[in-house]
Amino acid sequence: MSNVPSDLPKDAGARLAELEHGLFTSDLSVNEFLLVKQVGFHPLGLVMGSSIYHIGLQKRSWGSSQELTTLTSAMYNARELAMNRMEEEADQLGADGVVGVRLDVNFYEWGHDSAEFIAVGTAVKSEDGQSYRNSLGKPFTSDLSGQDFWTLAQTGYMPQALVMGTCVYHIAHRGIGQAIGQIGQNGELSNFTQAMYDARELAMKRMQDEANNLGASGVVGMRLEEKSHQWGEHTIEFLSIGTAVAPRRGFDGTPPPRPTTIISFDN
Amino acid sequence: MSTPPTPLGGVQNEEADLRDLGRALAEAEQAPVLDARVTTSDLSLDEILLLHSVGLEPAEVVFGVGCVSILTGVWTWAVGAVDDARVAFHAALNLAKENIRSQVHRTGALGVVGVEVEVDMRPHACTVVITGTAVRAMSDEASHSHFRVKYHNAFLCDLSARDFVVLGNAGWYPLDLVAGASFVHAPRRSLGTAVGQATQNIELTNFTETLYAAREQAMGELQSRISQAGGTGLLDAKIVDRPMRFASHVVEFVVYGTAVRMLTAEHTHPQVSMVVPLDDAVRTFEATSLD
Repeated sequence: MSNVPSDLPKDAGARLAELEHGLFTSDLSVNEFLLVKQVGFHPLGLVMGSSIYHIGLQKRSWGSSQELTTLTSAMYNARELAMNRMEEEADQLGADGVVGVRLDVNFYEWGHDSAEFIAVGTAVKSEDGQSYRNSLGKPFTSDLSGQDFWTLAQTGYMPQALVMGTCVYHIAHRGIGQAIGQIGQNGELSNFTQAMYDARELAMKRMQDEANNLGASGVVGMRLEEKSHQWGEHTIEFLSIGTAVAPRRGFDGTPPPRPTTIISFDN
Repeated sequence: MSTPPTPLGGVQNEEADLRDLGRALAEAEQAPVLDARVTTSDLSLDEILLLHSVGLEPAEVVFGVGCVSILTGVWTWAVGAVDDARVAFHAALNLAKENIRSQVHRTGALGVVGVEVEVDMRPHACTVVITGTAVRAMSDEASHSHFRVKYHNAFLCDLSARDFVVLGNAGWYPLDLVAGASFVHAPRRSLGTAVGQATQNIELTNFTETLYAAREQAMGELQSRISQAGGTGLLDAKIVDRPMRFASHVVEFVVYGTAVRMLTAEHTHPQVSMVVPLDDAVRTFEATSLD
């Protein structure tokens, strides 16, 4: 991103400096903390990035399905800004990566057409001194929980980055004639189907491109979210998001532990 | 829903209630103890068994309340942070902590697990209520063999009894409940700026900076409180980040959790094994399907 300002506020500097002296903060649960330690990482601090972004306007045509590129690029830019600031904080702490990343969008009453994009996670550093940064030399990011992170590490993979693709799509309304003609019939609404397909494919392709650029071997824990935010029901954001992974350097090939099957007494 | 208290009347009433409460507690303290080993707790059976495994047992359900008044007019839309609210929040939390610690002291317990924190911020008062289960050593011998940590002051921990035991087995111990807070006014945009930006994709940098600074202040505060408590870290941070209920132009950011410290020579990794549960989802009858 060319327009990312290196503008962490002064307070951030002071807070991060304190963290460099061995104090850590984290929103990992006790189980997650112990599992992250077991993989060989120690938490450094809660890192966050945020951006309040004004989302522009774009004319939608009532009867045609199309991508709303202005809105798509707003959602992209704002998320990138938040993620980049979080990575910057992690970088300043000398972290190898960030686990348990949550990416949220908040709409406030006072901010008309604007939203806050926020990324929060726990920066971690390896205890063996080896660097686990991704192929771009940045700390890895991942929205996997501590449990998933441990399991992934057992299979010989490490997270590279949280990758995402988004597409804001306007889905055409049906014409009145068409709607009347379809009353009382079983029939596929093929223009709706086609629009949903197109939008999802665009979002997923963009996510895959991000993963390819990192040289990742796959994306795990992928989710596809559909939200209308504040745009009315015919304008939908398709967001696909997941953790790109690559084989762990120096992995000795030990197969992952065989799971034990249990019948628990819980109800 | 009860109506919110009137500016001063409500606070006075609450203070009177607190005074009554204090008196009742003092009387209870002087009452003869029938059986020192009687316990009350809100822990599950599993959690009690886990506590027994480290030589502890629940002593009593304890709580602390702190209520601090806030000046009129601090919530009017202005620039910067609402410092009064932050100060009131910390004062209320400290009162509640003092309160609960004196109860712990009376029961001869080591500290409190499973602390629940309730914060009620109103225009004219901030109330913090914390409740949890005080735990004590089952016998002196048990506390020496399993629970070697000597606390000078009762510990407070908002982790569950299960988490407390698991963490303790790894060599980490909870010290204190710590929090950081900030309440900050959203900046205003002038009409001209708003109109100029109406069709653009653009970051509202002054908004971003204001919220950023507020969060960083709260996090900085949290960190210095961890250090003050003698901790080296904080686990399971709970984050509240939302506009205030009664003043939507003020954004509330509160973060709290348990300060912890490793008190053994090194971290002990727990035994981990992967399991696949073979349970079926629980099937239930619906009354409607039986007719």
